[in-house]
This record gives sequence, C-alpha cells and structure tokens, in this order.
Amino acid sequence: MKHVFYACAMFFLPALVQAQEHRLELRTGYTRSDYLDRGASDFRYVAHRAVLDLDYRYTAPKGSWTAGLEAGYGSMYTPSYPDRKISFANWNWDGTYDVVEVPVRGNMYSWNIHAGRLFRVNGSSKPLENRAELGPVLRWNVMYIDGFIPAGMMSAASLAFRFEKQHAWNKHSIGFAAELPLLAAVSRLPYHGSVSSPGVSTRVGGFFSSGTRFASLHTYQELTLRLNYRYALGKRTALGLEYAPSFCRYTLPREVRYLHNSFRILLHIKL
Amino acid sequence: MKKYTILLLLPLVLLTASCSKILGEGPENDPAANLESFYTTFKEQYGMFKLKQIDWDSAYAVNKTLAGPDASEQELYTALVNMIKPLNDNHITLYPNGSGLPNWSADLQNGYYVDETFHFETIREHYLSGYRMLNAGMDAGMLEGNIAYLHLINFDGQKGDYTKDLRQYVEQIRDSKGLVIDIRDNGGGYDPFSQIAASYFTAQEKVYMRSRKKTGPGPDDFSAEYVWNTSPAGITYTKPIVLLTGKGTASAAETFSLAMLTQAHVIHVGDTTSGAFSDAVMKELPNGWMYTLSIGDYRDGNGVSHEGTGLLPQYPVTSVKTELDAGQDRALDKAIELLK
Repeated sequence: MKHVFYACAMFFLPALVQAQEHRLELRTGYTRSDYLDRGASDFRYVAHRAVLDLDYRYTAPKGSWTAGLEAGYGSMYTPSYPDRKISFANWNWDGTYDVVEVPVRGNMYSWNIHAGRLFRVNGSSKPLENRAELGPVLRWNVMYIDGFIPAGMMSAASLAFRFEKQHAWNKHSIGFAAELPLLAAVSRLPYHGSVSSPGVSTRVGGFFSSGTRFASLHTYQELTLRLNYRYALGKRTALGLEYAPSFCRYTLPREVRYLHNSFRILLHIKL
Repeated sequence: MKKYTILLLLPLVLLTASCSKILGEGPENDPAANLESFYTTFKEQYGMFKLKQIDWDSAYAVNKTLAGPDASEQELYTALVNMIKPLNDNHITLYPNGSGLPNWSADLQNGYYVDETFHFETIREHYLSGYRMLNAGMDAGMLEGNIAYLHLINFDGQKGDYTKDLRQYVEQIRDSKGLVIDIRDNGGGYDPFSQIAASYFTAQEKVYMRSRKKTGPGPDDFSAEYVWNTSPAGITYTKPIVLLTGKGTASAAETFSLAMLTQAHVIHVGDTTSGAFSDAVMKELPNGWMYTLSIGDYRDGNGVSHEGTGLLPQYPVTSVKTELDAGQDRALDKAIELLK
C-alpha cells in the first residue's frame, strides 16, 4: 500500500506543484475620480490621484486566495471653477488690513484593503491559463478628503462578489474581472455634515459613529471592472497594462455618485 | 477572440461616455437660480428658523424681486445679505469669491472682523511673567499675586497632545492662588475638545449643553438630543477661576463657557460672547460663491438658547484700545482683583 502511495505521489506531485503559484503583482498608475456628493455640493469634483497597489495571490487547482492593499493621493477641485479662491480679510491691531487668498481645492487620500477566496468555475487547473473564477471578497475602501472643498468623505466596508476570467496564449494573457458588493457598512458625513458629538474626541471617531449605515444593493451600488493585459518577460515575471473603471451610487443621506477611471502599469512576479 | 475585442472596446465606451451624463448635470447658474439654491439649502439645513422665529419663505419672496435672472452680482449679493441679516447669526458668512465684493457676516465690518477689546501682546508685555507656549492653541504665564493665566486660543489639535498638555499644566499650577482662563479671542474649534478642556477645571459633574442637529429637509427633522456633560478629569483645578470672555469668544469657546459656568468656583468676567454656538458647515452656490450655515439648535443645560445674544458676564467689563495701547487691560485687571 505504501508503495502505491509513493507511486501516486511521484506521479501527481509535479502536476500539483506546477498547478500552484504564489505571485505578487505591483500596480502603479493614475486614477481620475469624478465625484458628485449631493450632501455637500451640487458641483462635480475631480481628483487626479497617483495610485500604488500591491496584490498577493495564491492560485491552486481549485481556486485562489487573494489579498491586497492600494493607496492613492491626489488633488481635487471642481472643473466648474478650477481656479477659484476664497478670501479671508484680517484686521491688524495697528489698523492695517491683510487679505489671505486660499485656493478652493483639496486633496483626496484613498485606500483599499481587500482579501478574497475565489473558486475555479471552469477552465484549466493551472494558473495563468484559460480559467474563470468566482468568489467572495471582503473589502474596505476609504476616500478621505481635506482642504477647502465641501465634498464629503466616504468609507465602505463590504462583502463583494468577484468574477474573473483569464485567457492566455503563448506569452500573452488577457484578464477581465468584475466586482459587485452585496452588503456593506457605508460611512458618510451625516445629513447635517457635522461630526462633533459628546465624548467622541476625534473627528474620525465622530465620522464613523455618526454616519455609518448598513447597506445592500438597493441603496449601495458599486461596480468595479478590471481589464488587463500581461506579457511574460520570462518564467517568473510579466509586465502588463490595466484599465479599471468603477462606478458607485449610494443614496443615503443624500445621493453620492462617483466614477473612477484607473490606468495602471503592472509588474507580475511569480514567487 | 471576438469577446476580448468587445472587452478591449469597453474602456473607450466608458471614457467617451460623458461624466456629466453618468454623474448628473451641474447646477443652473443665473442670479435667480443662485438665490433659489441659497433659499432651498437654508430651508432644508438651517437649524434655527423656529428658534429665531424667521419666516424664510417670506424672506425669499421679498428678495426674489431683487435678484431676477438678469440681476448683477451686487444685486444678488444684496438679496442674499437681506435674507440672512435678520437671522443675526455670526456663524453665517457669505464668501462672494472672485466678485470683488466683501465677505459678509453679522460681525464683519466691510468684510473684516475688528476687535479692539483684546490684544494679547499687551498682556504678554505688561502682565505676564514666565510666559510659555504650551502648544499652538495654548499659552500661559503667571500674573501678580501668584495667579496663573491660561490663554486658550482655540479648541483643536491632536487629542493625545491636548490632554497631556492640559494635565501637565494643571499639575504645574496647583500651588497658585487662582487662575484666569482667557478666551476673548478664541473663535472655537471642535466641541469635544472644549468638553475635554473643561473637564480639567471641573469640580462637579454637570449637564452643560443640549444640542440637536438637522437630519432631514423638513422643519422638524432633527436628531435626538445630544446631552453634553462636564465631569472631572483625573486631575482638576478647582481653586477660584475667572473666565474672561469677549465678543471674539465664539462657537466651541462658547460651549466651553457653558461648561465652565456650571461650576461654582468659576466667575465670569469680560464682554458678552459672540452668540454662535451651533456647528456650521460650508456650502456652495452655482456661481462659485461659498457660505456657511448653522445646522443645529444648541442650548444650555436648562434648555435656554443663547444663539444671537451670547453669554453676558457676571462682571461685564470691556477693555478699550487706547488703554490696551498704554499697557492696561481693564477686564484682566478686574479678574486679578476678584482673585486677589
């Protein structure tokens, strides 16, 4: 019996090893975000963000484990008045006056943390070949906005479903992914737009305690797509390009909509 | 391959789709539309129409005639100011960006805030020994007769540093005879910070404020009441304190005053405060002008509102510029006299 086991192991092990892969993917690029927050302003605001994203993925014959972290930062303004300034006039004790002009611009800081388990639904059991996967992903997206703009910030911790399809030939591969949250805890500024409340000593604490609601598809719709192309430089590395649009609409307490268009270069490293 | 070609075309489709179609059109921008936007936002979000007994619909109807679709910027400005002036709320400020017109608020003179009743340099030069800056929002020193002086400039910062600085300060002045807390030029900050600050000068737990905020567009859409208590921090200063206020004492500095005035060891000296307690938020008009408005109804622990009127000191004393220039601060002199 022992000999049969070793024979089977000798036969299957190379295939199993070949069918497993640990990989890191570093993505960097530019994201344009168009943001309309009716709770804060009737103007569309635009943020131009530099984005860095690190993804880890373990792929096995039956599916994949994935985890990643993305951070972005960029300036934000309304295209309706890109050069607008707000003036503050100061009176000095000696009777003189100063006027300070501040651009009505802000900054958007963003991050996204996610971890998921995807199951192969068809195609090859080997990584980087033709296969499709589907499964749940836990995500936390935050957009934090500061500066002299009234558009509000937003956080969404969600359970999403992701579908991925990959097609590979020779040194090329092309991938498509779609992700849709089904349940989420969404935090936004409350209707009145203020976060101070007794005993809550930080604005971040006030933001989460006063403006968090559970949401489903009925009130929170966010569809993220990814389309990428990779070219294998060798056995362990590939370079690629990615385009990832994302649209979100959330209706409470007042509607917010945003559209991200993300263009990235990616470096794929097999560990 | 055909399906991948479709996928490759997707970015082009999304990129060429107009953002305005996906996100909605921008607001209409003519004087009448600006006035209407202003009226609507105030109607839905301003927290004190009932309290101040202002008929906002009438104010709009009257001023609508001044700002028709062809009105000038000056005419629109006049109509907006006419509407907000009766609210007598220093938390409402109009910023007519790019028009050359002055900012407007009930406490501004031709766009400037002028306060000739407080000059910290006079105090620093003529009254204080051992002056030191505790952080960006606090300076301190000693007055004659072993009286400590704490100048709270604002209620903001990092919580950890803020509480550490206050704790250390209270420890340092424990042997003093009394304390003057000067908030005459404190324009406010974050109410929970003023709550923390008050806890270092609290002897007895007291309710000092009740606030409600707008939660919807209807006139009665308010949150449940937030009840603000002041309770002693781990180390507190409970010897006699004079709280010095002035017309520059506003917002979170006024909520701090409410907390301090619940305490039996606190005497209130100076000038009447600004009378702007509620939180305020920034809004925009379609023409790019900006404005702030108060979103709540804030009252003292007994349910009395001081919005628009401010807190009148127990010992009303107002310092004047000529004396301050000569090195004398009347209100501070009164504070020292009371503590001696």
